Amino acid sequence: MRKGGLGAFFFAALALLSPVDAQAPRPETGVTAVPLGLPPLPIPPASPALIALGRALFFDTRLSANDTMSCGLCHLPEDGYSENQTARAVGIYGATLKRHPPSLYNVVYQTLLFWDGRETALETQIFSPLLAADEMGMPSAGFLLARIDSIPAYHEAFRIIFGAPPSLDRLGAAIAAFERSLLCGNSPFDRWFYGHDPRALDAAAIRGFTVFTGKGGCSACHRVGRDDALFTDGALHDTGLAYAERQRAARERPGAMVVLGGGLESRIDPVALGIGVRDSADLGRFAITHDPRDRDAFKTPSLRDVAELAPYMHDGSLPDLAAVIDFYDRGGGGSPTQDRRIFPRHFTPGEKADLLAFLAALSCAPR
Amino acid sequence: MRRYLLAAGSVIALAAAFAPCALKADETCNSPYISALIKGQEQFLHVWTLGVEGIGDGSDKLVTIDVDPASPHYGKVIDAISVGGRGEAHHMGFTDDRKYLWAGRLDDSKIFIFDVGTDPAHPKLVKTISDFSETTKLVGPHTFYALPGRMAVQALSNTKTHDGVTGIAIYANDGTLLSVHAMPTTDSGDGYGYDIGINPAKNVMLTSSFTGWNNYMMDFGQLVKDPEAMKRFGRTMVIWNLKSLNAEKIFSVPGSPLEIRWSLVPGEDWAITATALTSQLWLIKRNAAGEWEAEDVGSIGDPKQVPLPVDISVSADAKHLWVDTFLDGKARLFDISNPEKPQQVYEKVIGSQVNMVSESWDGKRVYFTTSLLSNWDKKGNQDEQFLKAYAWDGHELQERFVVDFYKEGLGRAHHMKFTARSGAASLTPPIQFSAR
Repeated sequence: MRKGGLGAFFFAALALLSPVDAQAPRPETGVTAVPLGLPPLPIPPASPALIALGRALFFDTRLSANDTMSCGLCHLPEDGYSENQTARAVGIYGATLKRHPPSLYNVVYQTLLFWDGRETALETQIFSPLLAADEMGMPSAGFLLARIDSIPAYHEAFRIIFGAPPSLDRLGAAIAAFERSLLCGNSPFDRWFYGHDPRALDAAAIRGFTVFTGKGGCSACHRVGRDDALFTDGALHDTGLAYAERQRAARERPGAMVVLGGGLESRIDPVALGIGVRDSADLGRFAITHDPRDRDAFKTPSLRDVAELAPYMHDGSLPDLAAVIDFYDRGGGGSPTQDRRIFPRHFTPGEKADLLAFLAALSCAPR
Repeated sequence: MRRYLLAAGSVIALAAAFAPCALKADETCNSPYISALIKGQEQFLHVWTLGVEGIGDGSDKLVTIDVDPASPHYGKVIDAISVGGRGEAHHMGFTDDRKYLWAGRLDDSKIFIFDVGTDPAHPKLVKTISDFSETTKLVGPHTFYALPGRMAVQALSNTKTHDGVTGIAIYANDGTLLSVHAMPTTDSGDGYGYDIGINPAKNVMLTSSFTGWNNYMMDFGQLVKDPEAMKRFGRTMVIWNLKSLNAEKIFSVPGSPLEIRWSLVPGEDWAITATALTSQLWLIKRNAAGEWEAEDVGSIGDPKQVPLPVDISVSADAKHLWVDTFLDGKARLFDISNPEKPQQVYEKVIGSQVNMVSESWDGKRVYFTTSLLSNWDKKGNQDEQFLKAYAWDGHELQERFVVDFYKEGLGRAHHMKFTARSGAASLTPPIQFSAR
């Protein structure tokens, strides 16, 4: 990296580029020290300057075709770098996307990216949303790079950091550097389990951990190691959810009960009203590999900060953690191709409450 | 946002000091600060039109239609200004001198200022404000409400989260940003915004609440199936002190209260609104103790069927109220001579969908357009896009002409505003009345 007299200007310019609230200190963001409970970083941390550049790009709506979307509007810091407002993400021009935005916490440890695992590196992953017509809508890579270079602060920043103008590699490196800095650990669970602080976790959460790793079988996929825990195996599984959703849609009356406010609810059938489109099935990993064994398979999400990440599952179809626990208690969605580790658990109400207490103890700290 | 607040009080104090206390009208829905109203025959109708991919140039445009029955071009499109791109064209508002028309886009938050005073038959785009979001941190400039020498712009969303927490920006008529004011989020305020209505005589501004970018841009069919998203609609109205722009009272009005119409009759200090999701008419009035209160005064159709009331238009004598219900495509007329007991007295299906309604000052002509939002409009063969002009004889709407916006290669027809040539007999100063 070159260092020069333009450094002060560069950082001041980046500060102007970044939304004020995005610069506010967040739990474990932008840091290079590994919080308690996380494994060593698989790659060396990036420089603060590169992370700052990546942060500015991540929150900048000028990286979308009509200046309305940024990465940070589907991955909101206050929503755990996911998004709480809608079940499925809303893209450029209001396009309805198929899936709920996954949290970006601890993405540095992931080797498969997206719910269907179709990408393998953050440096290349970023171009899917940037160039997708229904996400950020940039018409071409060249147009994107030219637009970034036309913004004086970025023009300057790329030359200071890389000694060269924006390129696909450099843009990917910058945004990846920021995303890799989003670390979430040192939760009450970490302080109890790895820090050996007996006061860090209450009795209900401790009982919940026992259910999580024992009767519940949750840790078979949401793994907890002796020295650290990512709460994911990084693999793809068929939980039966997609199958169950298709079955429900075929079985039930069209439409949905809608809460309209003021105590008024009504069943609305969008297709009958002329405002609906029929969804195409989301077959998960199968759409990438066309391997029947990948049908309905989606990546195991981490459970770090999970209490803040509602709604849940790849399609945001479960509104809260209680509904998620109920889903697995029933044995998943009942798909013939479902992962064999998912079967009815017959939790007691107390066990469900304890599981909730445990999951709440996985929050990033400090809040 | 905070850096603009110091200017707030002075801007609104200026507005109140110069309050003309004019009657306002849609002609009956203009700001009370508009310098002249069209009380006779309107000559031109401007329709802020959403571009549709594959139709014409696919861009948003200001369409001008000759609506003077004496004109050889009556009922014809005589002008269309393409502004480039599709940004969710939505609402418009005149400056206080009625020479300029501000038109906003809810997606990319651009504001276009058209000169409609020089030659209303052929408006000219004179300025584009492209930095609304950058400078205000707000998204979705919706309502354009004239103040003396100023324009109040009510937004729907914000740059940080795209939810419904938003604010009001005050601009000078030349397009200079003067101040930004957050919608209240304390004392049960939801922070949401939608429309503005001012009663200068009582020094009050009333606001309503809709929803944020994530919802208004989302496919409507997807939205109603998303319980989390359906929680995020406005449920409040706010009474503000007009001079200080302080929120003074927040009313619980569930179901997203939309357009605000004050009674135009001097001394009748009440306003009426309709809730989109819950299909209710709400009255905002002063009680015996002189306190402002909001009251649910009646249903619009069968709320369980979700007719989705959208635009409303009050008659100049405040005796009648037109209500459009989008999903059943009906225009409904309510007798509101007793505003506490509105009674529906007439209805007519205008089309497969209907959104905006504008009536002439004398109530004899009523115009309807179809588009609600680009991703909320109906699909397939139910996606009619038109302007329909009717005569109203007190008993029946009689169709006068139709402009099919798809056949004309225009797009989705949304907000309407009337103009007339300067010096036209129909263009008259507003009626004055004293503050009480």
